[in-house]
Formats: sequence, C-alpha cells, structure tokens
Amino acid sequence: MITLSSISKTFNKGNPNEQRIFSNFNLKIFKNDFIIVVGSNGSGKSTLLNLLAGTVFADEGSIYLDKLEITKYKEYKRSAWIARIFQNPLTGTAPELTILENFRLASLRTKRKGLTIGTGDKFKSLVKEKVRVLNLGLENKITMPMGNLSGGQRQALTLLMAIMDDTKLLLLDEPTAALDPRTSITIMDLAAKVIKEFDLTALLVTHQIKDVVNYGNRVIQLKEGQIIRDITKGPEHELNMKVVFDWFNQ
Amino acid sequence: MSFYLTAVLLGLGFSALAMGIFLSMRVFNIPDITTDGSFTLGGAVTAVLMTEHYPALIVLPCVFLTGAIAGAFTGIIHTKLKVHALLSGILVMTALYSVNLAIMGRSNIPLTGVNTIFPIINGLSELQSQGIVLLLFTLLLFAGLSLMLKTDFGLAFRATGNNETMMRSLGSNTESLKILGLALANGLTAISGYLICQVQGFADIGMGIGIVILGLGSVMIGEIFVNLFKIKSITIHLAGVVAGTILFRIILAFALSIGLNALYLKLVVALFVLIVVSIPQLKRSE
Repeated sequence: MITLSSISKTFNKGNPNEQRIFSNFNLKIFKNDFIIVVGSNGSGKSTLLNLLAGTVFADEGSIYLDKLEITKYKEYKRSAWIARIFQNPLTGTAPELTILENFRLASLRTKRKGLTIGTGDKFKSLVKEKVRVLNLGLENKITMPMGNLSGGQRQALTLLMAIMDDTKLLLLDEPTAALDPRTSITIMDLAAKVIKEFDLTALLVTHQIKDVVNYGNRVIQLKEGQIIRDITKGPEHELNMKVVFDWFNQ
Repeated sequence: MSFYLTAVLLGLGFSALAMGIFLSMRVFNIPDITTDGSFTLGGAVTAVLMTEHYPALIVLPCVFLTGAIAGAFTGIIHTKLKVHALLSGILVMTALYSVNLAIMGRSNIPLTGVNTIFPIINGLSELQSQGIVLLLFTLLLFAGLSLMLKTDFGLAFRATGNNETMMRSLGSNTESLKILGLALANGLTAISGYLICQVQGFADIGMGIGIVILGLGSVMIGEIFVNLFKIKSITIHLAGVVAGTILFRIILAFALSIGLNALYLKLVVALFVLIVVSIPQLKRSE
C-alpha cells in the first residue's frame, strides 16, 4: 500500500507566478489498485505522478510505501519499486542501444549493473520469448537498435521492460497521448493485461474518457489539487462515456 | 619512411586520448575539454616521477589516477553544481595549468637517463621497439574498454548518454555515472600524456594545448570509417577511433612532409577537423 499524507506542494514559491498545486493532500493506493486519474490541465495529475516517481518533492507531508517512508528518496532509488511509462513514447528506451541491451538494463532496474556481460544466449531467448507476445515480429530483431522502431513499438517494449524486474507500482503518464488511435488501443490493452497478469498496482493519468470507462478498478478526479471524486468501480457505479463526460462540465 | 613510422607511433600514443574523448563526447554526450589539462598532467606526473627513478609500471597507475581525479572534478562541478559541461571543463583545465606547473616546477622536463616503458630489444631499432610496446598498450586499452562497454555497467554508461531520463527510471544514479565516466575518460587522456611524454623524451607545460581538437578529429575520422561499414557495434566504433587517430597523424605527417610550415600545424588541424565535421552536413543538404 502507498500512502500520501498531508502533502503540500507549491511551485515558484515567493514569485509572482507562485502556483499552489496541493495543500494537505491525502491518498491511499491499495495493493492491486489500478487507478485512473483524470482532471483538467493544472489540476495536479502530473504533479501527483511526479511526487510518486520522485522527480518532484513535496514541501510538506510524507509518502509511505507500506511501512517505509520514501518521501526524500530520489528517483533512481524509488526505481527499486516503481516502473514508469512516459507520455513521450521514446523516453522509455535508449535509441542507440539494441532491443536486447535495453531489456538487459530493464532487467537490472532494482539491481546493481556490474562488470559482467549479461546479454548472452540465455538472456537472448528470454527476451525473444517476452517480445513474441506482442506479435510484431520483433523477436527476430532484438539486436537491432531501438531507434529504428516506431513510437508505438517502442512504447509497447517499454511496457514489457517494466515487468522485466520486480515491480510494485507502475506509473503510466498519458502513455498513448502521442500515438494513433489503433496503436493506443493496443498499448492500453497490453498495459491492462500486464497489470493483471503480474498483480501490479498501477496509476494511469489520462485525458481519454474511454480509458476511464474501459480500464481500471478505481477512478479519481482531481480539481485544483483536491480529489473531487474517488470511485471504486462496481455494480453501483456504472460508468459510461456520457456519465464521465458530464464530470468535466460541472 | 621513419617519418611515417613516427606518425604511426604518435597515433598509437594518442589513441588512448581519442578513446577518452570518444567516451566523454560520444558515449556520454558531454563536451569535455578538461583534456588539454589532463593530458599535460599525465606528462607532468610521468616526467617528475621518472626523473626520480620510479619504475614505469609504478608511474602508470599514478598517472591514470591523477587524470581520473581531474576528470572527476569536472564531473562533480557539472553534475552537483549544475555548471555547463563546457564551462566545467574550462575551469578545471585552467586550474590544471597552475597545478601542472607546480608539479613540474619548471616549464620543461627532459627525460634523459631514465628507464622509460620502452625496452631496448636487440636487433630492433628504437622506433621498432617503441612501436611494439605502443601497439600492445593500445590493443590492451582497446580490448579492455570495448569489453567494459559491453558489460551491464558499460550498458548503463551508454544509456546514460543516450537517454538519461530512462536510466534514472531504471534505477541508476546518472550523476555518479557521469562523474565516473569523465574520470575514466581523463584517466585515459593522462595515459596518453604518459606515453607521448616518453615517445618524445620530455614533458612540456604546453604539450596539451589544442589536444582536445586532435582527439575529436580522430574520433570523427573514425566515424567516417564506421559509417562506411554501416555496422552499429560499439567494438567497431572504438576500433574506428583508434584507426582514425593513426590516420590523422599520418595525414599531418604528410602535410609536414610536403613542406607545410610547422607554425601553421594547428591551423591545418582546425581546418581539417572543420572539413571532417561538415562532410555529413554538406552531404545532407545536397
């Protein structure tokens, strides 16, 4: 379980363009939650994700992972539990390294990257097996530089890379914002499958109303740094496009 | 003929430097010009220790270490104090000028009557025995570095320069990696100073001036080779760097042999590197 308690965050403190995002913000993320976070621009969605990832630090309050306080942990240290999928589909992979080498680094996310060569035959067949799931024919191209692939292919591989090593929390920051509609569906279905199969806890920030309807077990709507809706999906909460669309017009 | 052999020897001696520049500029994408200072530092430490009759194989790790410390300073200034990489390098390079003078005590130290790394082999000329040692040295460094860049640690090195955001999200402290990388790059540069100082038989406070452009030129000539083969392997890339260094020295030797005034050597080097850099641009705009 991840707990954010009494979080306050203000950007540009003391400047004329001071921007208070959160004050006394609280959220509990339970194990196996797949939370869809929605809200208009400036509502604090990205800041919430960044606070969890450790790229932004809270002015006040604390963040706990189970019993461990990680408030001050830097991004690279939090990577021991947290994997991320970025809005830019190219951010999750290194273009000049091969698919194989990218996967190797991902498989060592929580471990030391030592002076051994780990891209041998055994690892190769493991990566082939993982990549085959995508049905993109990439399993025969694993020694190709990542930069030769399209954004959609790279985003799909980034998702697979997230589960190469032990992951407790998967953060998805509008992973399909830069992709075409068809690829978007493929990526989101893959994400949902991976989250289910590997029992992950996940947080998806999105602007797509259909993602709210189709994925996740819990929906949070943010407005000016406050949670104005926190719904656990179930028979009593039938969500459809119309209902969700109306949320944004209130 | 011995004229060109000397050029090859210098090329081998400078290939450690070119590999260092390859590491900072290409692998890490950091324009590091500490090089001018750390190259001289390598020469200075070599000359001072050798004239005190320390054996060449004891001097070597000392040289590497001092160069690495210089590079680490640049890395720390760049990553921790958030100073632009270019400026960090200029600062350390400038400071090193005084440090080098203080180490040497004067502006030039000849290596006379000392045991260098080059043995006297019966039946071989001085140049030939130097060539054998330099070749072995270069091969060792080349093999070591290309192997290292294939390990998990080396992959983290390369990915840091390629996509730092990804590497942080994959659990690497990229600041430390950059500091380590710059340390290694400048350690290699200092080893070049160590070798060249022994080839030419003296250390001079000015031996590092403009050396960074020489290394950069070598890396780029090497890349022309590599692009011909269209193979994106780090080993071949590194081999190209070594070949580029030797070729660059041969080209310079040729320029001098057809009567170029040595006064204009740096000008020619700058022009030559300019041409090499602009070839891809000119091709693209066609």
